[in-house]
Amino acid sequence: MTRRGPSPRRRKWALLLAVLLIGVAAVAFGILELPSAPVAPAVTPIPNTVAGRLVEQIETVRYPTARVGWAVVPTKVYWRLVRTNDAGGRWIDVTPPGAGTNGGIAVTVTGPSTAIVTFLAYQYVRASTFAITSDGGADWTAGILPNAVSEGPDPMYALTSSRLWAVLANGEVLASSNAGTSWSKVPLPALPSGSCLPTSVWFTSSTNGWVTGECQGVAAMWHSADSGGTWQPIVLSTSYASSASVAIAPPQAPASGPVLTSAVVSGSGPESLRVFQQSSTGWTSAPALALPAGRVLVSFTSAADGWALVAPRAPGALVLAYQTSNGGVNWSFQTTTIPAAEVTAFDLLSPGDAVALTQVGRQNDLFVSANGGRTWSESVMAVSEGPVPKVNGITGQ
Amino acid sequence: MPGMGSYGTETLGGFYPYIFIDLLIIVALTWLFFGAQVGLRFLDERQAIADKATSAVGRLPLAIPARTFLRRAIGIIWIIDGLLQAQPAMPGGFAKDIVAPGAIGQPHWLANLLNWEVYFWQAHPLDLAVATVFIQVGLGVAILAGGDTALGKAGLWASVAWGLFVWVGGEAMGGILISGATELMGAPGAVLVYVAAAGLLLAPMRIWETGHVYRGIRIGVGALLLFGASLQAIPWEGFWTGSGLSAMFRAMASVPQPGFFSGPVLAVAHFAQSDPVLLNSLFIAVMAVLGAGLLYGRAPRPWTVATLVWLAVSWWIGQDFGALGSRTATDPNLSPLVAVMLVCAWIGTRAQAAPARVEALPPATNSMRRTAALGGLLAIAVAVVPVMLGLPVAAAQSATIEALNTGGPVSQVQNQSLPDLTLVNQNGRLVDLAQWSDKAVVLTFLDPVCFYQCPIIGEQMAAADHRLGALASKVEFVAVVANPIYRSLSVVRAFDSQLLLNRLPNWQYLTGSLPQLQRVWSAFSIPIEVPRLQMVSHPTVLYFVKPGGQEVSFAQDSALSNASVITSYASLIDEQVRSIISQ
Repeated sequence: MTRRGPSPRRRKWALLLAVLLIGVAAVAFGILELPSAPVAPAVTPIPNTVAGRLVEQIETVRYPTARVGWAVVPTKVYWRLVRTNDAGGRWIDVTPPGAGTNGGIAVTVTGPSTAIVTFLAYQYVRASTFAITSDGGADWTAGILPNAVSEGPDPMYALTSSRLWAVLANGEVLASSNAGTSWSKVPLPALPSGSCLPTSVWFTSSTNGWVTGECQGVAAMWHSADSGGTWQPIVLSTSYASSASVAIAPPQAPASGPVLTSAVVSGSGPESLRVFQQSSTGWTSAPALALPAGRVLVSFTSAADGWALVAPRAPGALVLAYQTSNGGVNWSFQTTTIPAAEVTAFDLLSPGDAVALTQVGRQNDLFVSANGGRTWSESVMAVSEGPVPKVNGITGQ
Repeated sequence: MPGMGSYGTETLGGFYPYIFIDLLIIVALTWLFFGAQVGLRFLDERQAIADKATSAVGRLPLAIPARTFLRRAIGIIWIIDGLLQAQPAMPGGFAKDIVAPGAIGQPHWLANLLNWEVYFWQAHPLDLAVATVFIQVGLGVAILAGGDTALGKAGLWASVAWGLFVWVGGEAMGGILISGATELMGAPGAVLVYVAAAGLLLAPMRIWETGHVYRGIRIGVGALLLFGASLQAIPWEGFWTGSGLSAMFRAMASVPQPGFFSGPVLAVAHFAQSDPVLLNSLFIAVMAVLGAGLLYGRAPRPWTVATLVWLAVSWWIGQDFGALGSRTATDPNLSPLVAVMLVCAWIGTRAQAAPARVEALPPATNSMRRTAALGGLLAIAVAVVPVMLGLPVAAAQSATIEALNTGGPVSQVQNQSLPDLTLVNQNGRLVDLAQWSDKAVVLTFLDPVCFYQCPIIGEQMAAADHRLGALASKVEFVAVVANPIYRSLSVVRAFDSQLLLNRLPNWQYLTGSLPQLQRVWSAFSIPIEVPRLQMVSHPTVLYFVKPGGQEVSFAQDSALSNASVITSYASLIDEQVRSIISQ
């Protein structure tokens, strides 16, 4: 009796399978090398989307004075920094040329004419570039960080044109005294809540510096009273469940009153906003304001007067406007509609005057309210190219 | 700051118009094909012959309810997946939020692969997002409407191919190669079930008729659960500690969702934090018992019901319903897919017990269904062809692999002398091209803060150095800064550091004052532009210089050639250098 071998069809499949397995094994054991690419850096996880909301809140539109405003608006896949000096009548593109990235830009506005722009690195590019201006964006001085910058609301701060601070994605805080030619690491004291991730740096005066971040779901800050020479940790009693995520805004020193900061917490159930104020005994916390889900946009004009807009992530939906006149202890709210638009950013000019940046598709518009948010009037953002800014003395095209 | 934080979640302009235009193309093509009837007539004839043949032996194909269920379920799920890919956040967010995090911690080769994918997606977010939508919707339509015709089988084969691609490129092989993989959260990857389902639908009809397939499905699911129990029991994976076990539930609960859904997940997270050993033991025990029951149990029904309950629980607490509300969800995750397979086996087993329920296959599929199936396959073709041909092939027209064969953009130069080049290297030393006269030199111009081509080319030079092995000592890789703004030593060093070029002894990255650099750019005819909104632009060029300082060949890439640059520059450099050295 003869025994039949495998059919040709089975042999074919067996051969194919064997070739496939050998190929996979060769690749797996490094015998066969696939084309290699820049390896992604190990990026420390960034606090979640809540940070994104505060990010959008703080920097997309900012009016240091009633007439001078800065805003970041998208143009196709790139982001533009635009500036107005006539209260929004005309916006000029002041984006520092030559380093654009569709990864995004972080802008920290420190005055009517001063700002620092950080170009956010691609995932596989470790070093972030930045540029500083002190003349409203006509001239920029460019530099580079040794690693990818944090995705926090304010990853860089220019105390002066040469004294710079930066927070990296891995949580390191860096300082430079030579406009970014060299950087030194700033040691931050540990917090009892464990592993912390600083995300932002901010100065409320030439001596008072703040680093904000998160320690496993708890808002955390470090304060320096000697221009960044030494730092002290501050634990804010957020007392939220460890599963919640918290994003804390860099402290601000409004024209009147003490330093204050705000934290948005998300987790299960409604989100909440809590305002903290510095007092002689430390930091006091106002009661938490429970908020429905949405993009939370907060702005204060003084330690007492502030608004929180809760903007649904859909065009034309009702916007909830919460207002406080006692530092977040009590809030009143009203519903308001900003027509056919999705609110992406907001800044409060005075307790009754607000400006909201909206997007309709990719077209940006501003809506202005002068009656406490009851009605909004549209102010189309007319962005003109203007003269091309210079970077390190070089003019773009 | 509407920067990185919001880029990933905003719609890139033109996404939906792009989808709409592609849809119009597909509909037009479908009707053209349909009108011509060329392919369909051929298929009709083939079908008629097949029907005649099966009739002749008295075995008309039967519609097996379980098989029909599986086909419909997989078709519908592919369509759902396709629609999920059409979410506004996908073009900007898929690579950054889904693929890139999956690359972290993976073996080098897989991390490289995923990083390439991130690169391609970031470079062509709209093209690839639209292509993915049409491929997945096309697969679903072809499978649903194609039935057992050649069109349907083509859809199933495409499903297998695409599924395997997605398993590697989208799911990072379900995370099974890295620490922390758990079946609770979806390992070894939902898309493997798509592949398995398509494989079963392509399998010979007799395994369905005999019922072997149903037993096979239960064995497969049982094995999956035992695999899951094993993963969960590994001591060093962290599932036995409070922070480790609760972390995954906390992560699930933090996804924006109604409190009704996240409440139980949070409760489990708290329990995991306080008593991880008990909870993890419970998970392991449940999976092990259910797995063993499906493998060895005599009565499949109670084990199937219990497993379906477990799948529902794990879909909620471990997979958060596939994070369908997260705006970058790509599929419903593992549990629903496994449940579909189990339900298929259930239906099949019941139908076997009551054979009267087996119905004859409806008459040959009508023209509407054939048109739909054809449209589905055309959608895949319309999506895949530009990706497969438009990117790499168009790129290759101007670069490397073809260049090696055809001479293309690699120009042979008859021992031309290079301009003088004296600049400072990354170590701050003044260097001159002439000092490497005893070596071959590969010279290029790179922007140290470029995030697009330059890091890739730098890395490819390092790869070429690695390929050259011992010959690498006979070549010097030289790059000149191609950025008038960012040209300091610290910038150059950051570039070297990020690409590990600082580990190469034969790597030189040269810079200088702006006038010095401008003289070099001018001498080499390198146009440098500082555009208003983009990074500095410059051509991608390679000069191959033989020992003695004579340029012998020159390669220039076009703006379209990114794909080929990535895949072949190392081989191009390797070939050219070997050629130079052997002269």
